Amino acid sequence: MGTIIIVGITVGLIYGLVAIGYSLIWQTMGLVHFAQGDLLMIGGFLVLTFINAGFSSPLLVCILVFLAMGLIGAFIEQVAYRPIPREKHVTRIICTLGVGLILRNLAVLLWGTSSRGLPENFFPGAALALGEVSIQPVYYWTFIIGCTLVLGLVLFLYRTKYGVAMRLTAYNPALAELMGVNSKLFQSAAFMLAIGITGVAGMLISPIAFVHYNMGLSFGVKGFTAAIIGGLNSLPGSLVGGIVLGLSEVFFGKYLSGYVDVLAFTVMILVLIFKPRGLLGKVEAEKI
Amino acid sequence: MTKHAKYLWLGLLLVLLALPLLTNSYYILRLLTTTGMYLIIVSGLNVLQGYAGLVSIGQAGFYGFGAYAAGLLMKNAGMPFVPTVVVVMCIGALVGLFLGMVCLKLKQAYLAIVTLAFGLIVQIVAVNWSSVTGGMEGLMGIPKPNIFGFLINTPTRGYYLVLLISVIVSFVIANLTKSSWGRALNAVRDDEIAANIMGINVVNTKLFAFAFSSVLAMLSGTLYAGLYGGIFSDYFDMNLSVLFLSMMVIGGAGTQVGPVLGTVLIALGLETLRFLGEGQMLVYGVIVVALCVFSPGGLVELFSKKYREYKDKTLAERGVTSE
Repeated sequence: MGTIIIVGITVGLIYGLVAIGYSLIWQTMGLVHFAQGDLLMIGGFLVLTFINAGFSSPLLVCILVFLAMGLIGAFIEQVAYRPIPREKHVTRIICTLGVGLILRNLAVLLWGTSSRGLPENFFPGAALALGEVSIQPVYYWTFIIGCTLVLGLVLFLYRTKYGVAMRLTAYNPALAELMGVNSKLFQSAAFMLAIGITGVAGMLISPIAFVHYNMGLSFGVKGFTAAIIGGLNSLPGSLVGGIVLGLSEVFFGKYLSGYVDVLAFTVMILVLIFKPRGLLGKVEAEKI
Repeated sequence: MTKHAKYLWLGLLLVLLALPLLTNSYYILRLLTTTGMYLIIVSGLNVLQGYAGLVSIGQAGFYGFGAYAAGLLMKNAGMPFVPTVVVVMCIGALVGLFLGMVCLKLKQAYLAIVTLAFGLIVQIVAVNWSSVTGGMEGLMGIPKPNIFGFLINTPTRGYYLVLLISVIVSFVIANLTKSSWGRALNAVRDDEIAANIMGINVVNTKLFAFAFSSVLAMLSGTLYAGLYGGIFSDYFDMNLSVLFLSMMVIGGAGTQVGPVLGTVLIALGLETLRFLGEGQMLVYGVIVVALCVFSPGGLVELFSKKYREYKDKTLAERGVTSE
């Protein structure tokens, strides 16, 4: 029982990180980024590449993945999303889907089609004993890295000048421009941050689920579900949504076998019908 | 429709009618038949997204649903083809209405993700409910369609059947979009509140668009089951839905020519890229992104803009302005 709860919370935390990525991009750019899951997959493969290149410290790999994914994110944003006008909603959606397709096939060319996992003792340390439950190092490292990341993000957004500028850009780009904030720059920065976080989520998921070129779809949709459950315009909501989803998957998973993914979709559709702003989301008035 | 456009359509139709006389290659006929089925779905999607502004990334779900429903009715219940078509289209209307009711309040990105989830759910059920759908092994041995004693058992006959139906569908949509229903769809797309004030029933209009597109996708699925005789669950995946949406958007949403242009270009282009092997989908992805970036409004808009610029330029050379 205890183990199940720990697995659920850990997986949920990872969904929450993906959801935070969605939420950041949605708030600053008004874009649902359908390539998010595929970037998670790229993050997972990058970790394997770094490990093969001789980096063995988890923290160093984590920072490298964050930076590398940020750069990839900046490239994608500049080349593919920036030129499309904001009111062409469907073209933007197609473009994100196209980027996902490119990433998936690029992964096949670079890393092949087989599933891969991290080396067993990548995360150092011994299993923690908590009462009669023993926690494997993978789980507590995931917890520590995930929480540090979220805490760092919150401190950045609410305690620094740049964080305030980013939130202002999300709130109203025109107003941000009037206040002397380069809103385009901060949109790109938010996108890079989101993709960096997604890359780290890819690193954390790789010891738990295998890295596979086609994993993006499932994790992308679940991350989005987590964001919807918590409210797409609320960062803490994303985390809560992720943990709710992770826990409900491990609890109900064994009764559902092949239909586990249907659970996530059904929950998402129900939330959208009955509480469209999510559990913690702010209510937005529609402007006429 | 201008006189030129009319002749262009007639010419295209004649070429397509004469094509089986020139070649009886199974490969070419099957490629064109599949393109025709895609065209039926993309035309429906055009009514939903291009005219009514409701995006869907779940059309492959309807396509698969239709194929399985038709396959099971024809194989297990022994129903003839024509009643099957009618029944499946009725089911399609119901499923479309249901999804429409679920999605009634959702817009843009939220709608995209719910329809995406619908498509994935259909596929998951098709894979896991193997006692009925055959699961990963697929549903095989569906009898060939028999239309009032005329057996559709050769690729050529299948080709003509799909051609006939896609022409009918295009004709119906061309007339629909010029009717009050079509204008109501446009009004709802542009401004729901204004449409409501003008006396348009927004809810019914949206539900109609959902049902219409779903009926067409299910019809196409029926044709797939009948003509190809076997259904595999992994064919109806999300990539297929994305393909339909990109066909429509790249051609030009909300236009007559756009979906046809997009469907034909992408379906044939994708087939031409097959020689690249593993790189096929990579190149396809790059092309999709490049087209999105360079012509966000679709090819039809791009061409008409270039044509206007060209016309203005030639007029300016002669010393007149078009205004």
